[in-house]
This record gives sequence, structure tokens and C-alpha cells, in this order.
Amino acid sequence: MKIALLISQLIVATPIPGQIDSVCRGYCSALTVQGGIVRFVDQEPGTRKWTIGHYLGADQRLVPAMEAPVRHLRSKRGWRIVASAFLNHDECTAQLRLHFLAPDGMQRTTEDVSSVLEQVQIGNLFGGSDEIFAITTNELHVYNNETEIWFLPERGEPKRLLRILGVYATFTRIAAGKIPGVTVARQTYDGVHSDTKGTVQEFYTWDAETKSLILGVK
Amino acid sequence: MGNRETGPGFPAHTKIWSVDYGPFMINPYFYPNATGQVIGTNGANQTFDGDPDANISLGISILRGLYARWGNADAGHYVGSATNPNAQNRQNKWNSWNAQLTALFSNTDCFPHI
Repeated sequence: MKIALLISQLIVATPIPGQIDSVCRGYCSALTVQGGIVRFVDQEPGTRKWTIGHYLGADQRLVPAMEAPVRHLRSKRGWRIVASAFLNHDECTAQLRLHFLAPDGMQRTTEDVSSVLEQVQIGNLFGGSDEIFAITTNELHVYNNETEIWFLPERGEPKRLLRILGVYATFTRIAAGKIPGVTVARQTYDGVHSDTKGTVQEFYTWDAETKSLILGVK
Repeated sequence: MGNRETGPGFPAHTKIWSVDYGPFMINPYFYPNATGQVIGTNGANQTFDGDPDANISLGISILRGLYARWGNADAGHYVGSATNPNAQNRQNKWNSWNAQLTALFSNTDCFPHI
């Protein structure tokens, strides 16, 4: 068994057309850019392959060479968020890395999320002047979709407000008679029992004083 | 089971972009060789009308590929990457039943075709 494992780890990768990074464990996987499309490809026949997005060549200078930018968002205040595909060598899979670039152009933080981008929004999503970034990503199965919501401050570090398995549905802006917040459809699957599959609707209230999201209505 | 399905809270303007099909919940967006009877002709939230044997056969080939890569950590990796809570739960469940299930399926009296 140990010999087989050693042999599998010594596999010499045959380059996949367009690959910018690869990892071999048992068999090889690669991140490719070909014809302007970024993809994840398993070299083993019959296994995984999926499209991650359109390659944004002009944004390559903003991320490391082993990453492939696929999305670039800019807020009114000047925050830029570049999502780039990269190969997670430990997991032998592709992911997206979110690069948070402050209005001064400096990268403030990064965040790794799943590789398939379902939906993304940036702006004054709760009304007022607070800038918010929201993203839903997914990997391998429907029930794996995951949402993150971030606060982008005038100065300082971005703050992650929420991270849940599920999708964001609607944002409510502050207005007379309305409580600002976000409705999410949270996945209820426990990863084991099929009868737990489904979603439940939840509302998170935006607290503009503490810059936080609170489950339920105030 | 489909993404962007019409469950509570899902935005009405969005469209279904991926669906898990059959007993193995195989998603052809991520496994593009899952076609024909593996997934059937019904879409998201519909009764699976494909061939369960074909679906399970492809599922087994996927598991074999995962086992070649991950060994006994393949159960979680079928669900997702190691940081995914669903994948962690699945792997933990496998870990807790590993010995019993291995003994059961190694019993050639029960499974003479093995």
C-alpha cells in the first residue's frame, strides 16, 4: 500500500493544454486558461471538470501568476474586489480567492471561497452610505452553496458580517417603516441524512451602529 | 435537487444552473460525463426518471477515483472540500462506521459477488 502511494505521488504530470497550475495526487488536476475561459480539469477520465469564468487578462497584474482573475467589482467609494481562480493543492480542487483592494490601491485582505460563483453584489445594499459586498459560491453539489457578506469601511479593514451555507435572496434598504437587512435561504442539510435537505428562510437585521448583522428582527 | 430552485427565499429572477440527480446526487455541471440515463430527462425538483443502476455505476466510478486519491478520506471529498461543513459531517459519519461497514461488505456470505 505504501509503495502504491509513493508511486502515485511520483506521477509525472502530462501538461493539460492551457494549464497555469497543476497538482498530482493519485492522478493530476489542473487549472487551465484556454480560449479566454478558466476551467478546473481532472486528468482522470470520468471525473471532475467545470468552467470557473471568463479570464480577465487585464487584471492579471493584480494577482499572483498562478491565479486567474475572473471577476472585478468596484464600489463607488473605490473599494475593488478581484476574484481569481486558484488551485488548492491540499484539496486538489479549484477555489476562488477574493482580493480586497482598498481605495488607496493596497490589498487589505483575501478570502478563499468555493470555485463557482453563483451571484455577487456590491453597493449600498442596506441603503445609507455603508458599502456592502455579498457573494454566493458553490462546489460539487447543490446543497454546498455558501454566502458571505462583507462591510467595506471608509477606512481600515473590511469586516466579514456573515458566512452561511445558503444563498442571499433580497436586501432591504433602510426606509420609513422598513428594517434594513437581508433575507437568506439557509441550507438545512447536515451532510449525512437526506431528510434534512432543504432550505429555511431567515432575515438578518443590519445594525448600522455596530456594523453587524443580527439574526431576526430587532 | 436544483440550485436556484423555487424554495423559500430564492430570488425569482434567477435561473437554475445546476442540479443534483438520482441516488448519488450527481451534478453534471461538475461531472460533465454524467449524461443520458445517469441523469434522466427530468429537471430540478422533479422525480428522478433516469436509470438508478447507471446513476449508481457512475457514482461508484467517482468514488473509486476519490479513493485512489484520498483513501479513507474519500467520503468527505465526495461531498466537498475538507473545510466544507457538509463534507466534514459526512467524513465523520464514515469514520464512526468504517469498521462495521467494512466488516459487513467484506462478508462474502452476504455479498458472494465480491
